[in-house]
Amino acid sequence: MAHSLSPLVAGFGLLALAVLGGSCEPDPTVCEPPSAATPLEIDIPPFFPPMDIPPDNPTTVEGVELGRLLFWEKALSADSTMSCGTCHMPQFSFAEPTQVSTGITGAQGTRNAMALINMGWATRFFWDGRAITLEEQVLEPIPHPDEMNLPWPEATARLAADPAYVARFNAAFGSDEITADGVSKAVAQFLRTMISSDSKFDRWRRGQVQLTDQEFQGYEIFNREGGDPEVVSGGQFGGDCFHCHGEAGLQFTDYLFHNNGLDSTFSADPGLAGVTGQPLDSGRFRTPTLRNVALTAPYMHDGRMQTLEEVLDHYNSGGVPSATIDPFMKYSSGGLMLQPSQKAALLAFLHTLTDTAFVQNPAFADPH
Amino acid sequence: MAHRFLHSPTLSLVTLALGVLVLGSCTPAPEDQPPGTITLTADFSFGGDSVLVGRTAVDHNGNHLRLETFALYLGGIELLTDTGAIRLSDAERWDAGDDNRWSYSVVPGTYEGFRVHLGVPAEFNTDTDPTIWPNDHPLGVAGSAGLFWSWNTGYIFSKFDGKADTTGGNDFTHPYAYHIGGDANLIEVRLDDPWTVDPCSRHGFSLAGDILQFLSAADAPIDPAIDNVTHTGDNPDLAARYVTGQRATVTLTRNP
Ligand code: HEC
Ligand code: HEC
Repeated sequence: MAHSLSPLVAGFGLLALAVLGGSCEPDPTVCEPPSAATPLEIDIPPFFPPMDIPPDNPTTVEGVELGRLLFWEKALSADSTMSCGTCHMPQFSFAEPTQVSTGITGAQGTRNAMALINMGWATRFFWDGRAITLEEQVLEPIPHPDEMNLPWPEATARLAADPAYVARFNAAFGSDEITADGVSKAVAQFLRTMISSDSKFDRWRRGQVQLTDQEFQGYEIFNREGGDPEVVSGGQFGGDCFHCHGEAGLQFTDYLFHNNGLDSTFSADPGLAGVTGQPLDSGRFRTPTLRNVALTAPYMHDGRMQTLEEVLDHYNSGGVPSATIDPFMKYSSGGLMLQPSQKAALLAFLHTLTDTAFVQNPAFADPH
Repeated sequence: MAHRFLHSPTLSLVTLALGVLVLGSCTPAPEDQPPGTITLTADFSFGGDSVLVGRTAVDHNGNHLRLETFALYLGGIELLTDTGAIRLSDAERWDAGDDNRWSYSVVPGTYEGFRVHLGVPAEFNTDTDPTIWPNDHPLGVAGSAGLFWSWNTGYIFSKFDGKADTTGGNDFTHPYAYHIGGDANLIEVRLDDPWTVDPCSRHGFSLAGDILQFLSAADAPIDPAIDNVTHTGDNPDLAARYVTGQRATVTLTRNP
């Protein structure tokens, strides 16, 4: 609860110091970078929530630079052919255009690579939410047999053999020792700087541009209740999208887990239930952000849909009934019943979430 | 999430120091005495059992309801005094399966009563932007996940949804969802009952009520087989009936 300190308390704290003439103890809740690394203040774009940085991994200039090198480092895969950036490609908003990922051994995963965008605000990671922090998430792909397939001791030994990396780890973390923990911290720092806030929609929110009539109509449909009022009490012929891809904080995801009606059984991929063991979590996946969604085809956790038109047809159908389908899906009342012109408007709105400045940002490109 | 700032140890220390400096050593003012503690609990039930995701219960119409979500805001939590109210907390979030217990430090003295709202007070609800709060605050973007949808309508005060078996055939496919928001649907639950908080004393306030009874108010019954979905704005009439049921059901007691 470090955040709950109100200015009032701070004021009193000051007063206490004045009255008691106490010495200036360092505040134990604020972690200074352990080395001489240069603190980096992350700018929070307008209408975005605050970003919570873990106290034991403050962002620094040196840490972010190192993280970027490591993100693009092919030596972190067994045969030195694959880096994080092989599956998370800039032009696809750091996702991948193939249905599921293929690791260096040729082994196919079961899931579609996720877009890396505004990761500093995510609260659970992966489609099934199995990682709680970004640092924890980064530990997984390097040793994973279906991905980079390089055990951590080998990975850190390779880096330690390169004097340039040793110097960079020292600059970032104040130690010559290279550990998995250090690698994950540096990459997490880099990922936190990968902020997208310059889509047409962002600029519209900031009052800098106009949406076209069609885009605005799509925005309204996105935020309106679904269904024909004759069939669904309270239907507004909308898209119902905002319930899960809500606009608050401008991330277009609630970071919660829902079953949006893709399947009636879940043996292929139980989703959240694979993590919690709860049958009622079967088929529930983390709502993905819709930022840059026009760049991240194919869609859904297993990449089963090729186009956004297909995605809209899915929602329009109401989805497949099952024990865990979300109550917001209109599966029992004939779907959303969107007309072709409404679907076109919704599609136009989704395209306003595309941020090309983000995908072209040289600060995120391969530095090697 | 239990402790919101009221009397931090630093603050008490400073107040004490100031007290000694300014007032000298006569009878200490109430603020200079050790505080009492108030703990608020909310023991909602679902068909007589504790509220758990996945649990089923039979409503007054004979529908079997399986619960998927029950969450609500307790907002504007205040001690009532003869001159007004002292805010203990702007908002707390009740979620099925959580501890749902919050404690506050209170300056010793006599109070006229206590109140809490089911929902978020208007000053934080209308045209609100959740990014102004820390992320894990109940009203922040992460803290309000699932209970905040858009900028204009504000927070979802309470959310009860799942699937019903309306045929008795163990076929839980019929969705129901009561999602209540909007300033007009804010419910005040209050206890006007003067009592004294002594230094270091402990007091509890408990909210209670069975969710199924929200659907069976005498003047506003709801049959989830027919009236199954409201997100408030889309079906204000059904939302109003649910609110009537909530108002008639939820009780507030003090102990001791
Ligand atoms: C072989 C392809 C592949 C490689 C290499 C790879 N990833 Fe991924 N990444 C994926 C896939 C697939 C997922 C989704 C996996 C899942 O949900 O189970 C994913 C998910 C993620 C996520 C979660 C995003 C979110 O929104 O929750 C992050 C962060 C991430 N990867 C970062 C990295 C980093 C950092 C590296 C390098 C250390 C890396 N990835 C290497 C394929 C890859
Ligand atoms: C019940 C919550 C919910 C609602 C309502 C909802 N979505 Fe989704 N959406 C999800 C979830 C969860 C996924 C991921 C599902 C999966 O992969 O299994 C998803 C996936 C998507 C994807 C694929 C993104 C990607 O990166 O693969 C798009 C596009 C999308 N939704 C758009 C929409 C639109 C447009 C609407 C309104 C018509 C909408 N959604 C309504 C929860 C929802």
